[in-house]
Amino acid sequence: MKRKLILMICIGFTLVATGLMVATCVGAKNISLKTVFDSIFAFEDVLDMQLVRNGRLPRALSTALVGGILSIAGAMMQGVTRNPIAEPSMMGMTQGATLVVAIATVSSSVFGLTGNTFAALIGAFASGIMVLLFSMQKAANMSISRLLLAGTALSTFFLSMASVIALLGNRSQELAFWISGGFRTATWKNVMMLLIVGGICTLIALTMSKKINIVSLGEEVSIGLGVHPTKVRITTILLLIPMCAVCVATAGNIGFVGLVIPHILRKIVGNDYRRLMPLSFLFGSALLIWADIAARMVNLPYETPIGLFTALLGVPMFLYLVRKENS
Amino acid sequence: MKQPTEKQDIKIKDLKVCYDHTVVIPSMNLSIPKDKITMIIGSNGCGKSTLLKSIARILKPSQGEILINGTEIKKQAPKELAKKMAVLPQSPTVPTGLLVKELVAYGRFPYQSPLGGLKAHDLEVIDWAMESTGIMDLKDRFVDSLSGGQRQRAWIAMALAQETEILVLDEPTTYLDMSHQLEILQLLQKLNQENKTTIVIVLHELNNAAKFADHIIGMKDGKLVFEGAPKDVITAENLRVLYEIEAVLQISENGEYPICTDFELLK
Amino acid sequence: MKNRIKYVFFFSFAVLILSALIALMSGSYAMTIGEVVNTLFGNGSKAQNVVIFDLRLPRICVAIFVGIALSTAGCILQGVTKNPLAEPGMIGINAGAALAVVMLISSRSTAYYNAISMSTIYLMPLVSFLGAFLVSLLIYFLSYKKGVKPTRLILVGIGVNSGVNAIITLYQLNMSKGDYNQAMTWISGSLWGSSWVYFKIVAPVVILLFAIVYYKSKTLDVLALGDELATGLGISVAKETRVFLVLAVALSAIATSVAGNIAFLGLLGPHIGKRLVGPKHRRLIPIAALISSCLILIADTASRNLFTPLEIPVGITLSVIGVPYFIYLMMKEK
Repeated sequence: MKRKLILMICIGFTLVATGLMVATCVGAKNISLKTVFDSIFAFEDVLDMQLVRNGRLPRALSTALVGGILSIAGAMMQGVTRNPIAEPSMMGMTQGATLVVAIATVSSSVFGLTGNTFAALIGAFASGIMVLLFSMQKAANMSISRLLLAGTALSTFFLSMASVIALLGNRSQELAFWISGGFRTATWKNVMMLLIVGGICTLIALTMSKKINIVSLGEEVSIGLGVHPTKVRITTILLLIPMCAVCVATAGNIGFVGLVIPHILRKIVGNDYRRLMPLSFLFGSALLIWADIAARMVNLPYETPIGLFTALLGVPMFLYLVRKENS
Repeated sequence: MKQPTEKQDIKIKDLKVCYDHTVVIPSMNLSIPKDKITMIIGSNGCGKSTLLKSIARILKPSQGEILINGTEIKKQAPKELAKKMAVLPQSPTVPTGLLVKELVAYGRFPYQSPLGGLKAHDLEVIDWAMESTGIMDLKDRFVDSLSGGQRQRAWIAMALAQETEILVLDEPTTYLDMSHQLEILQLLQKLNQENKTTIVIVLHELNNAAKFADHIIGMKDGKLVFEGAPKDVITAENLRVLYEIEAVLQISENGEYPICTDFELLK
Repeated sequence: MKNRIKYVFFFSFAVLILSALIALMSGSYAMTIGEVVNTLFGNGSKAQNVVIFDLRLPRICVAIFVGIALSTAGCILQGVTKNPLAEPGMIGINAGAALAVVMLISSRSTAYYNAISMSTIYLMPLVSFLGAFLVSLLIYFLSYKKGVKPTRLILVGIGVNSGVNAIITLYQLNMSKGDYNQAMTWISGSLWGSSWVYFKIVAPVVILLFAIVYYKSKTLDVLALGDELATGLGISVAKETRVFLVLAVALSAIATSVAGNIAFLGLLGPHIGKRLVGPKHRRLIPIAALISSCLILIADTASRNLFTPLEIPVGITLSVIGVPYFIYLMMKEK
């Protein structure tokens, strides 16, 4: 097991590192690796270096962070709801954030980036509370289909509301960009926000992995072991709220990352959340970095929405899980 | 209720049943006597519920035949078969918002036309079914508001309303306390005696099986271990094979059925 | 009980008539009730005739049939899956129809909605039906694993739904603004532009399918008792389930073909109906259809008039009503 783990960590880091390099080098204009390094360590005021420093680098880092945060959030959610298909975007949490972002965008008193984050936070908070209410019901009642139907209903609702807002503000097509998600506008401010908010929450989350382990065993067992499942659930979802919010504020609504990664990892390293959660972060980063590279490169010079790539991976995975679960 | 013209019986020939790819019942030949209470016993996973579900045509056998009244069940129209044999599964879904009398009326489904209402005879049978199961007082209550024992009686009433000569029940006493278990079994016994209904039950509780059965079938690993009257087949020897226990048996006070008073695991 | 059912029927019917009247009266060309009645009896002015007979009445009639279709599809899905939250709008059927229409719109980017040609009017329902049908087939085959289990069907449907929505978004991004707005009305569900042509397409199909479902309502009752009991009562569960699923798909496809992707209507009607008349489908199906028709009419009138001159898609209004109710159901269900 130990060797497997070390191998996985190495693979993960390699994927992330090469991904970051490729992401900064490749694009509409290819830039040599040397220029990239120079722009970090010996910055000169030339176009290429500006492009790297102000465009590609923050973008690459944002994708890495968002991927990691979303993926670890998915893993946590699956643990506390004991539901293999739980994931922030399937549960309507990211859509709730999207709605409030839409409101903030349309209302003219835009506060810029912090405004978006703040808006996303409110939205994620409201939808998070609802998710919490659902998952608080007795485990026996929480069949997968119920939880999912609830999630689908919530996301339909939030997106419909967002459509109304956008329609009334005559900004409806911009909404489509929000819903599909993307890193076009990622800046250093985003990176800082992700690092601070997401980083802190992720660290706290990691300290909870042991408790999530126990809660994932089930209601009775965890009470028997002295861990109150409801408390852990509330804390977890409270942590998830800011995590989802910063991700939505940066990249809009990107689905399925939290579904795909934890599941593949579970197959390889088992169900121990102490291993699963950090690895989810690592591989979630890798996935999104490479997905973003693909999104930029597939249809040059246009960008393809990154959400499409994650959905392309996520939907088959989801279907596979459903077929397996229900046999 | 109904005056039977010809009694239905159940015969099983070379039956083979599989779940996915595991063979649960390799090959079974069996005949279930008419007008009697037959109990099927055996340890967990011995295939007794599988057998029952095959008879109830919930599971499709991979080989062999199940004949009811001499005709194979596959060859009989589902609704016609439902007039001959009623089935009560182990833990049926409890419908919400349905009254007891409405539930019992569902038993008349095989007799009804798609749009027709309940006819005089239907209502008579429904009343009789509720009367004999003692749930007349509950008929305007919601099924989901009943206690476990009451609910079980409501299900049995529904099966009775099907007016069949065969009644098949899968562990009808599970989740009930001792007195309610007795109540249900006595009810079934009464039905058997009064209406000459052929009853087939899968039961876990050995002593109850021995007490109420006319005919006991012991199963292990999908095979028939013994069958016969309780007095003849509930022996220490047979139980050793069936459950791998060393049982202490004595005969009931009226001398009619054996009771297992104590048991140990085989060394 | 019998009396109560009569009352409920009478009352819902009265509400339906009333909401239809209000729908006839309100709009950018407001009319009094007297004018509406006069026009209906053939004594209206030219403008009034146009407003009532060419615009509002067909729209109302289409709305009613869309309500009947979606509510009946909801009744079926909830009965067959034994899942009280199942609904055609959430399991991908409607999304499939929307995707097909979006693809059609973006393939001929010049056909703006203010210049809808006659061929498009006929083409859209057809294409949308095709989309719904293909996606349903896809869902069916993906959930097939030694028979189709209703729960699996729902889950697969949810997955396919989000996949289809992702593709729709991709198309939307590359559209011109006019196309986008037109596509929007399909994706969110709208009765904008409903004409007698739509009515002629929808009404016969819905009446036929509704009659079949009603005829089989007892089977639906027994199916809700669970597979084993239903088998015992003489139903071929697998076969009947398949028949019902096909009916539900057909109903939601036909509704979507004229009104786009309307969610929650198939949930609201049956649930309110169940509270009023109980779970027996013989009573439930017609009452649910009535209630859903009322709801869509009221919601549509609101969508037309709340933000004049802008019209918001009725599907959005319905989900604004539907979701709180849905959440309430989730919370209450123990």
